[in-house]
Amino acid sequence: MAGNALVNIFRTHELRQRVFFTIVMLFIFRLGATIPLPGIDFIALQEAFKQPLSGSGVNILDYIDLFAGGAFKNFSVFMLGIMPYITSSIIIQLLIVVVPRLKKLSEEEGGKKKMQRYMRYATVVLCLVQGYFLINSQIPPALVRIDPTLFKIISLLTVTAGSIFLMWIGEQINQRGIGNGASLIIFAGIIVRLPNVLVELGILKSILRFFEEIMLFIGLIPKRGGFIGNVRNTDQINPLFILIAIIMFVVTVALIIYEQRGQRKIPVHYAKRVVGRKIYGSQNIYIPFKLNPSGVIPIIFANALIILPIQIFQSLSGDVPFFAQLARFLNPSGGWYLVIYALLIVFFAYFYTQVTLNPTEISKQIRENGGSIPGIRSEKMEEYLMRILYRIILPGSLFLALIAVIPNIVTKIFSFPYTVANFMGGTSLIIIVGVGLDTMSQIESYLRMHHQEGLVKKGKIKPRNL
Amino acid sequence: MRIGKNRRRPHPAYRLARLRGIGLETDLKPYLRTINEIKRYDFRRCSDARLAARAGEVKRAARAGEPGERLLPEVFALAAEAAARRLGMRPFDEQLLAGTVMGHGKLAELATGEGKTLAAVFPAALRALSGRGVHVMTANDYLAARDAAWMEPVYRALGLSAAAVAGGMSAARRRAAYAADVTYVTAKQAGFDFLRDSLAYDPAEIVHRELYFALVDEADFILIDEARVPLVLAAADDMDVDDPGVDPARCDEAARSLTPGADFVLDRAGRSLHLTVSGERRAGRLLGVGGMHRRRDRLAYAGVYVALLARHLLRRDVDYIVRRGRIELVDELTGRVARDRRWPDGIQAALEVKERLAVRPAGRIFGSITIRHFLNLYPRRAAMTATAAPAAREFNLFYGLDVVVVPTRLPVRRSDEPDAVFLTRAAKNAALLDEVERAHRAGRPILIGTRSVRESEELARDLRRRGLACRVLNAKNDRREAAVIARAGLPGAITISTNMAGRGTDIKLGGMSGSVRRRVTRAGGLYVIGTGRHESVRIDRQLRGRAGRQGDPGTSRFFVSLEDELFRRYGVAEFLPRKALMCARDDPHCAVADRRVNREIERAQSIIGHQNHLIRRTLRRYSLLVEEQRRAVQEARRPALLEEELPEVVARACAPELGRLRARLGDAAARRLGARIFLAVLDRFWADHLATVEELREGIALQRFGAREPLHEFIRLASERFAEGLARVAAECRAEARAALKTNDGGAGYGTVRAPSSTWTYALDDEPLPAFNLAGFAGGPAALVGAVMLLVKTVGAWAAARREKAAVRSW
Repeated sequence: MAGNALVNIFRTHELRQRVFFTIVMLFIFRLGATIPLPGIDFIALQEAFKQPLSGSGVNILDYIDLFAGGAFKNFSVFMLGIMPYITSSIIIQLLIVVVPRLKKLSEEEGGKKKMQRYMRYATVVLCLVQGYFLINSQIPPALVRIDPTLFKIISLLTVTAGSIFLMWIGEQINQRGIGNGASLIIFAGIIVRLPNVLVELGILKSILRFFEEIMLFIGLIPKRGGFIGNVRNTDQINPLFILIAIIMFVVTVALIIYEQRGQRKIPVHYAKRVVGRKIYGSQNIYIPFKLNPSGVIPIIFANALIILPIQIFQSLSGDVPFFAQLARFLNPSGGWYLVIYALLIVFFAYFYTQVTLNPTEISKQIRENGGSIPGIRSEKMEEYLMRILYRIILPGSLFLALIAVIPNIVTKIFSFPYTVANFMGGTSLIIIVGVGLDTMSQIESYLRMHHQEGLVKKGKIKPRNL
Repeated sequence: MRIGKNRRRPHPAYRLARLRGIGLETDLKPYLRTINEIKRYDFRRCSDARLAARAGEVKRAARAGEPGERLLPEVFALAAEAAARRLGMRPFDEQLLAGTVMGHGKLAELATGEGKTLAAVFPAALRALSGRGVHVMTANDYLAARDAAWMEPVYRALGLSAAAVAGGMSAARRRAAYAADVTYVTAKQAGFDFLRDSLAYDPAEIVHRELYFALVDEADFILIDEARVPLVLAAADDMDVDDPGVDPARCDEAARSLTPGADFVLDRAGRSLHLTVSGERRAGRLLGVGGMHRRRDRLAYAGVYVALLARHLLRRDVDYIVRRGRIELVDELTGRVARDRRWPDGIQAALEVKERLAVRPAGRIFGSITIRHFLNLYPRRAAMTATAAPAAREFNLFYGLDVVVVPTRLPVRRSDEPDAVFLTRAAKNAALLDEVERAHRAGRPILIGTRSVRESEELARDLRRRGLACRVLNAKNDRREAAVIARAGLPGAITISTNMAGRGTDIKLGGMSGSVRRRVTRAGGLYVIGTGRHESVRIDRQLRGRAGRQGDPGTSRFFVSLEDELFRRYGVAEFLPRKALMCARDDPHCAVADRRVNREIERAQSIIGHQNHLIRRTLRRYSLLVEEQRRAVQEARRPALLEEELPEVVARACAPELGRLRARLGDAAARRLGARIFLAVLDRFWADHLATVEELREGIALQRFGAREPLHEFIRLASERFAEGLARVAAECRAEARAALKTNDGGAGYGTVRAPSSTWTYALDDEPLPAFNLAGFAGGPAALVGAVMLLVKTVGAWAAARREKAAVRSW
């Protein structure tokens, strides 16, 4: 029997190595996320930290920072995070669809490698462009202690190299570690906010106070107060709300797990078997259609699309009253915003599934390998797959939309800090859960590889004589 | 010391080998030190009896537990002296060096024609002294018998015994051969015997001793090229069949009436085909089945599919030959008939229908192991080959064998000419014939390596038409092999061969006569001509290596056309610079003289090599789990077989039935019966599981559509099915025991019938998984929107940045 999974991870040599490798790589990433760009006044930066970067709720910079794992706001060498790499891989994926030449190239021998190369080139370009604008606009001159032009050049090169380095780390994790590198880097960036959230909720403080009381009781410390130090006072949040928040958090996580695991199995039969074998147990060959095949991508797309007009309207609102009205109408804390946002997510869920899981393509590939779907005439395969896909995406995407708007609702009803709500719902949780599940299933497969259950339990029970 | 003078400089890329973990050792110093130690022992003056006595002392020391490494110098010196006396061959330092390398459990790369057979004797003798079995694995049965007979006197002088195992031997003779101190056997035979042992019902049926040391000759061939094909033990059995499917003859008939293009699409280069919608409909009408979607209909469809496959993609005299009323597969790599290899059942039957042969009954797989896993069961391994360095990384990764390159004794005097490249096959053939004629007139012996049986026969015909006599060596006339090779070195001899002459074959210049030999040497030695490049550089190098052995002169050259299958399949012509081909455009018979072309061809080969490596790596990952499961089953099997002990779970489940059996049959007989029942149930479970695994692997690529890693899903599903099946074993044992109680004799005659009757390996597709390509999206306009969206997003980020600027400035 497998026994304790965690113990087994460290018993299995290969797995142990892979897990350590991953941890070390992620540690390097976190280390880099705290190293500021050369030329930044560190002390001034710390001062600046104490002020909120922006007050306006949903914000594109918050977004960048979310994916950069907090490396953005402290202007670190990994300021851009791994997002440019992910963006470029999505762009290339989409371009393959649009440009026939590229499609042909990708299907050729060695095409995958070529595509990967293009992806890397595109990442460099994206880094340079994004880096240029962000460095130009975001880093306050007051923080820079060297010649501004020199600083811009150095920083641009540094952040580009930083992102490429992260990309490399990601690929190394793919190869020698465990889990998907790029996702794990984002995952790590999000998860490090947990202590921060706890602080903001006052939970950490309560815990510390609890320990303080105990230590006081035992006599380890002489008096109250010294142990906690300067934990920020956040007592204005009602403890009941905290409880509700925790319950909601657990429920949301459970729902997301439920959704991520949801799948519909479509049996496929391959033609190579000319004799009907008696099958015990379950069907072995099937297409697993996931309830939510496109992951967080619809949310990312919807966000990008809705934030842009709002920002344009806001910037124009000074001159034209109509735009001011529009901007107010689309206010992120308002109801209309939520409705439009949710609709966009549903739309993109359909759209992106159409791109990644094309029924025509799937059925063509099944056919070319001599396969068929039992009960479905071969020429109706596309239609059948299409119908099923559409049917499962609807609940999947509605669910996605629901999870995505939770932070906004929670912020509004309970007046939680947005950062807290954002952590507890929406994009971050889907990413955390998704990456977590993926990594776990990988670990599981390694464990299964080396711990086959047998009839004989090694060492424990000797086979009994008859 | 002379060694090192002709040291082949390792490719610069290998300089960093150690650092990058390629597993290639370039430092010979420690081994040279050992050679000096060996030389310190001088047994020249000793009598034969004294020699044997000394060997006996060493043997006692080894059996007392003295580590082999410490005994190495003395044993090697003894073996060298024995070889000199009994064979008249005093081993060269290079051979001792290779032996030392292997004695340390590494892989020795010893150039072609340097005498590997003798080099293997040293490590084999060293390990055999411990009294545990040593297996020297040769490339084929012929070499196993030859080498064992040849080297036996050396072993005998050391007080050791040697024997060879060949296909077709009885179990008793095999057992005797494996009991010898050193056994020469092919890896496949040893593997099959192992599988057969793992299905034994009686300890007396087992032929192997405990596996100890395997010394693999032609390591790259056995450990890399061959390792892909799993060994499969099959037997006719009352299969759990729901539906026997449709008669292959009827399917073949239906397949014949389908027209290519309209009814099915054929991709010869990609070696795949599929039925179109109209083809399905027509086949359905012909076979009288309806919509092709019920279980029975699908089997009919499958029958048509394999019939088409057999008819259009498998070529007679290329992929297989027909001999003595049987289909015999030709191994692509060796050019030899692959004995007891079959295509998976449906295809084999379809092929037999196509060739109008009797359809042999299909078997059921009871045991399977890849050569890779089998060899890894030996606690000690060593290997040798002439072409290891290009695959050093793989040896290290898969077998933990480091490669050590041993320098040649005499400088290589063979000149490897650059390829002659032509646009068309016709031009290539014409030039090739001219070249053969020229060399023949100059009195040089010529060896022409062809790629298939058919090609070798066509070439022979062309040569004879020109009035040039030649001998053909291919899978069809493999019994004349020794005779053909013996004459291949005579002046002006033209020998056409498939890959059969590619490995291990020693062509003696001028045959046995010294004066003729001098004449041939003066003419330039053996001229090796390849009619096309092979998928692997190593095979090319092996063919070249037939010339220039032991410092002889020789030449090798490949004639290549851009129409060759290899290049067409991988689209090499598209990579070539247009200009390079221009000269040949006007005159199709002119050779393409451009270095870039040669470079591109080499590049194509390296890409192919890399792809094959990836395929092997994938296959290995999939097989690891199944191997683990096989071990788990064997672990339960052993006590039941050897001590008639049942696992706890089973014993508990069957307790009442077994108790009654004991009352009826007596203690010993009941124990025996219980063990037999368990073994039978376990074997059936394992056979079922193997079939399930095969089915899983076929469809696992579909998991990509659920954004899942196929390998991980495979592992999950396969281990779940394994656990499910295992959980049923106890209940089934109980049912069987109950059934045994109902028989007249109380089940005493149980399980005496079935014993696996035949063995074969399966020819597997190179592509283990259907190549699903997720990049193949469609829906153009919709995606355009998506691309625009991403642009919008970037611009959005920029706009936002601009707007925030003012706010930030206030800092």
